[in-house]
Amino acid sequence: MIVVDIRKRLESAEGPFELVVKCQLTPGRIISFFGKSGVGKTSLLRMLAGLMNPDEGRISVNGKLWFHSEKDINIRPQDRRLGFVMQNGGLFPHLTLEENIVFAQPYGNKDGKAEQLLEDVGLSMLRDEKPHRLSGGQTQLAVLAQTLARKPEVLLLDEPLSALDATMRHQMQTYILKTHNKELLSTILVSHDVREVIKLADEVFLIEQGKVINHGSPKDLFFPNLGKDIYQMTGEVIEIAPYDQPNALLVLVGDKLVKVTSTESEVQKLSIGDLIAMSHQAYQPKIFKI
Amino acid sequence: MTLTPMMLIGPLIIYNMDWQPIILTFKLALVTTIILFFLAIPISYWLAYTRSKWKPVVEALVSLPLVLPPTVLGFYLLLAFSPSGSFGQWIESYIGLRLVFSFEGLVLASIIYSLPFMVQPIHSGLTNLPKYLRESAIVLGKSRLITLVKILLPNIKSSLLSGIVLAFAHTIGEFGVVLMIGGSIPGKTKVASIAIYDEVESLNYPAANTYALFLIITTFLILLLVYSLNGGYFRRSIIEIRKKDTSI
Repeated sequence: MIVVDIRKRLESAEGPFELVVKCQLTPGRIISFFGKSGVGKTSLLRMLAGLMNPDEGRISVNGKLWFHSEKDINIRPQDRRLGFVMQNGGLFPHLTLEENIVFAQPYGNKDGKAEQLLEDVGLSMLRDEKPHRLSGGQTQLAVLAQTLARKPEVLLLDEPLSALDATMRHQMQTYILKTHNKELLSTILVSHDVREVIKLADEVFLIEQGKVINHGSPKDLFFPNLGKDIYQMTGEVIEIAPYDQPNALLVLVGDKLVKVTSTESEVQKLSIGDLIAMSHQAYQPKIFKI
Repeated sequence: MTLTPMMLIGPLIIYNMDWQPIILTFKLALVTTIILFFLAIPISYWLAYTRSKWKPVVEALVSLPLVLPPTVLGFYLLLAFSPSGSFGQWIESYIGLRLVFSFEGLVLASIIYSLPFMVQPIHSGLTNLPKYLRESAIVLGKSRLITLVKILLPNIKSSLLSGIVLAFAHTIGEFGVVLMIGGSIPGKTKVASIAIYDEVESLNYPAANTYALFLIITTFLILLLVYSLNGGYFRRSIIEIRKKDTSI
């Protein structure tokens, strides 16, 4: 069980705010903190990793206290046995891919696991290459492999799929799910991308302005009407009132652009870049086999 | 007396040169640079990552030799190390070192005098590294020492080289501090810059010219080698230091 009960004053572009997170996370599951940029998601991960200290509160992982402000306990990041795939992270540029993995192994590569890890992510052919020869997606996969070489109990992922193209996204997602299940990890994912969360998370905590405002399964949170004969999909607003139609929207759903017509009052509440969920009655749709 | 080209080049061929000051200069520069290298790394690391309120104080102290006339430093070191003073007496009786008018004293003075030239490139190299390098290594369970030695230092090789060359070159060019604390004892403290001064004082221009020309050629070759090996980075770090230098 991971218990997080912390407070931290943070600065954002809109001014200072307080991040207050109180939750219990079941081990062995993938939990996601979801919210817009700048609500304190990354700071939360940094506090779990010990790279930033909460102002007050406690963090305990599987019965061990990692941080307790009143008891003056603050375990060093080195002793926290977690893996952290940072959003702006990367490999060590002066080491080859294989050396990067070996460096992360607590006792060196005595068990030969470095080769296995590279094989799992499909990068064993590049083992002697320096990181600058890798693409963005390959780097992200390699960073995850490096993180796992440390044998963490808890895996922290900061927007792991956001910078990847569709193919790499799929490969990374499969790898995350596979290793999460194989290594029996507790995985904490932060994201502002609904697709990422729906694909990966078992449970979602919604964060707004530093506070957890709701939590539940991704399906319940993002698609509250599921199971009621309704089509639902999520997308990003690309254009409002296209073709001079005030009640229409252009929405990017996956990699497809869809024109949606709604009521004018609903459309007026939205702005470009908003993530929206759309639903539609699904009585007697026409169905074709393709 | 007017200088002719033959007078400039000639001495190198015909003048029966006393190599001692040159050898002493390079010995001093080498010893100083080696000690400074190991001293500057922890100081630069501390400056790069500390949140202590004392950081500006330490930064100012380290940079002080950049702005002070060397004679100021030399004067106080002379007072401090003088065997008639209590500190100088203590060092002499407990450690057995006489730091005034001795090679050891020159080394110590040079270390203090050239400290900013080693610390600043390493410090700026460390602060310019992406933050994730250090944090990733720490989260991967590595100690700060391992992180420094295996991850941070290999990624600031250019800065390390800049520091080494700058400290070495600066020690070769020392004059004021050396004169104050070392005097001009042949074979012990008479380095090339002092020898040049002495020779000019006694109007022995060919000898002064020999030392001066030798210094110009060797330092030029060192800098040429570094520029060729290290490309733009070294030039940039010198410009950066100069900028900081003038902004103080």
